[in-house]
Amino acid sequence: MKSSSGVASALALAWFCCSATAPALAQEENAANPATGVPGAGSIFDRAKSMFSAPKTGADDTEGANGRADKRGAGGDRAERGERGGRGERYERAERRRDEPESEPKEKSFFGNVKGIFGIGSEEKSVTKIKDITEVSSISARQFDPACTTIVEPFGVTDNLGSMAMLGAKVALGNVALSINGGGAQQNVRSTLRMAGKNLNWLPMRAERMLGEHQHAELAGQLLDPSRKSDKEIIARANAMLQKLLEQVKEETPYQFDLSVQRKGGANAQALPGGFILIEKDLAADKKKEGIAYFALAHEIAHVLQRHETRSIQARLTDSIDSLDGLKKLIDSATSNPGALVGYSNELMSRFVVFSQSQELQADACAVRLLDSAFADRKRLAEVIRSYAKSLPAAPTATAPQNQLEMFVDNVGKMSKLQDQHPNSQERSLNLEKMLVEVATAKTRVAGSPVVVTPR
Amino acid sequence: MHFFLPAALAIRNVTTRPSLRPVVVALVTIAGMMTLACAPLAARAQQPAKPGCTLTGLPQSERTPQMAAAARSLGNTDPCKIVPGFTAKSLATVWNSLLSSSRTGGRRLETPVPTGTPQGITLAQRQVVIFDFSEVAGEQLKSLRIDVDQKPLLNQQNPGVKVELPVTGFGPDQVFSWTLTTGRGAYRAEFKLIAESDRREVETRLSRLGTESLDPVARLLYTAAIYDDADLFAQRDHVLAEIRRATGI
Repeated sequence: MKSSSGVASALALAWFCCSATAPALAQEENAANPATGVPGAGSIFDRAKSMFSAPKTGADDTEGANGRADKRGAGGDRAERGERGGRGERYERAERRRDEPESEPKEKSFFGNVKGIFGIGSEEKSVTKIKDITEVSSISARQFDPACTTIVEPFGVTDNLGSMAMLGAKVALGNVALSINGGGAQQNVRSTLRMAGKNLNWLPMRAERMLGEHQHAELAGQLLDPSRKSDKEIIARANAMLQKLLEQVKEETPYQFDLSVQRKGGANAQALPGGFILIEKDLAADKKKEGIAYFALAHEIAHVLQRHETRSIQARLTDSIDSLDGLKKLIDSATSNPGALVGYSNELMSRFVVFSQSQELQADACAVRLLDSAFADRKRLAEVIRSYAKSLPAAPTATAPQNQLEMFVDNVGKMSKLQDQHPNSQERSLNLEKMLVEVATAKTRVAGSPVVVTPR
Repeated sequence: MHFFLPAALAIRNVTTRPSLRPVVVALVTIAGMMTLACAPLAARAQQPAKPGCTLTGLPQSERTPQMAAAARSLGNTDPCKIVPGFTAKSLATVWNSLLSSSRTGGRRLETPVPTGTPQGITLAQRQVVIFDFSEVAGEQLKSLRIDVDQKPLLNQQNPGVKVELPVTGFGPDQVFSWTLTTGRGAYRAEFKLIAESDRREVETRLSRLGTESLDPVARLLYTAAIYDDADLFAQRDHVLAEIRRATGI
C-alpha cells in the first residue's frame, strides 16, 4: 500500500513537471533534432524519457562551444565598452543599469509574470537541467558531489521539480523492486523528497541576480576604470582569460558573467551571486601570475555555477528554522542540562563552517575540471594547478580547543566570518592533487547509484 | 564732509603742480592696470564652483549625527582647492567606501587579509611599514614571516598586534611577501613600496591638507582620499577604520 501510494505520488509529480516543462522540452527536442522540424514532436513518454535521462556533464555534452561563447560574450564586451567599472561612479552606474534595456524578454500576462518569477518556462532557460540526486540529507547545509561531477547546478524551479520527480520515481521503483524481491527496508517517498528539497537550490534566479547587483554596486569605486588606457589593457586581458574558461562550460546556463578588476593590488578573487566575478589587479596585470589567475577565475566561475552563495543563504534560512525549534526545546531544559545548550549551539555553528569549507573544496574540484578542458596540454594543466597550490600559505598546526567554552568562542569567531571560511592549505592541496589524478585518469562517477539518506 | 574737504584740496594741489603730473599719471595707469588684471579673479570669485568641484548630495545613510555633521562639513569644502588635482569624485569614492559594508558578501578564493595590513602598493612613513593585526588579534597570533624577493627577511614567533618593519635601503621594485599564521588560519599578501615620485606627491598633498582648516572627520576623509588616489589602500582603510571608530558607524 505504502509503495503504491509512493508510486502514485511520484507519477503525479512527474506528470506535473512534464506539463510545466513541456515548452522547454519541445524546444530542446527541436534543437536536438533539427531534421524533424515538427514543433512539439514527441509523445509525453518521449519527454519523460528525456527528463529521466542521466544528467549531462561537460564531458558528455557534444554541443559546440561557440554558440555559448558568443552568447556569453556580451558580458565581457560590455565590460570592455566601459559600462561597468570606474571610480566613484556607483550611483551613475546604478542609474545607467536601470536605464539599460532588460536582456530578458518581457512577459506581459499575469500568468507569464508568475511563470517568469519562478523561472518556469522562461525563455532564457531553454534546456531543462535535471539533477540525479543520489544522496539526501535532512539539512540544507550539506554539500554533496565533492568531486564536482556536475559543473552546473539546476537553476530553475522547473529543473528542481524535475530532479525531485526523478528521485521520487527512483525511490518508488526501488520500493516496488524490494517488495517483489521479498523484503528489505523500504524508503518513505514523502520524507525522502522533503529532505531532498532542502538540498536543492530554490532561490529564484532573479533574486540571485539582484543580490549580486546590489553587492557589486557596493564595490563600484574599487574597480579599474575601462576608460583609462592602462586599465583597459588589464581588463581586456582578464576578460580573455575568463572567456577561455567559459567556453569550456558546454551546458546551458542562465548566467551573464560580468568580470571586474579591482584596483587593489592583490591576488584574491571573488564571486558574487548571479555571475559577477571580481579579481584583484595583480592577478590580471602580472604575467607571472597567469597560472594563478586562471585557477582563481575557474574557482570563482564554479562558485557561481554551483550557486554556492544562494545555497548558503537558503541553508541559513531553512536550517535555522529547524534549529530554532530544537533550540527552544533545549532552552526549556537549559536549567537541568546547561551543557547540552552549549553543545547544541556549537554543533549548529560548526555545521555552517564545515558547509562553507566543503563548498570551497568543491569549487576547487570544479576549477580543475574546467582547467582540464581549457588546457589540452597535461603539463600546462599541472603547472597551472600546482602554481596555485604552491602559493597557498603553510597550514598552521591545529590546536584543539581546551574546553567547551573555548570551542564555543572559536565557533562564534568563525561564524562572524562565515563567507571567508576556507579549508586549510594542506586540505586544499591534497584535494587539488587528487582531482589532478582524477581528470588525468578520466574517472567518472557511475550515474544512477542508489540513493543514500543521511538523517541529521 | 569735514574729512573730504582737506583731501579734495590736497588732490587739487597735486594735480595742478606741473612737477608732480608724471607721477600722478603713472600711479593712475598702474591702478587701472591692476583693476583690469583683477577683474577676472573677482568675477571668478562670484561664480559658482566648477561643476566637478562641488560635493552635492553625498549619498544616503548618514548613520550617526557625527556622520551627518561630517557630510555637511564636506559639502562646504571645495576639493579642487584643498587638494591640487582633486575633484568631488575623489571624495565621493572614499565616502562610498566608508558607508558600504567593509566586506561585501560573495565567495572569495582566499580569506582576505586583515584591514590595515600592507598589500599592493604601500607607503613607508619614516622608512617604516606598519602591520596592524588588531582585526585578528583574537585569533592568537602565532608567527609572522616576511620575505623580500623570496629571501627571508623576518621570522617572528608570537608577533605583537602592531609590527613595524624598517625598509631603509629597499626599492620600489622589490616584492615583499608576508604570511601571518594564527590559531585559526593563515593570511598572506604581497606588497611593493611606493615609487619615490609618487611618495613625494602624497606627502606634498598631505602637508597642504595640514594647512587647511577643516572639521576633524572631514580632514580624515580628505586624508583617506589622498591615499585612495595613490592606490595606497592599506593606508586608506586604516584611516577609514579610524573614521568609523570616531563616528560610531
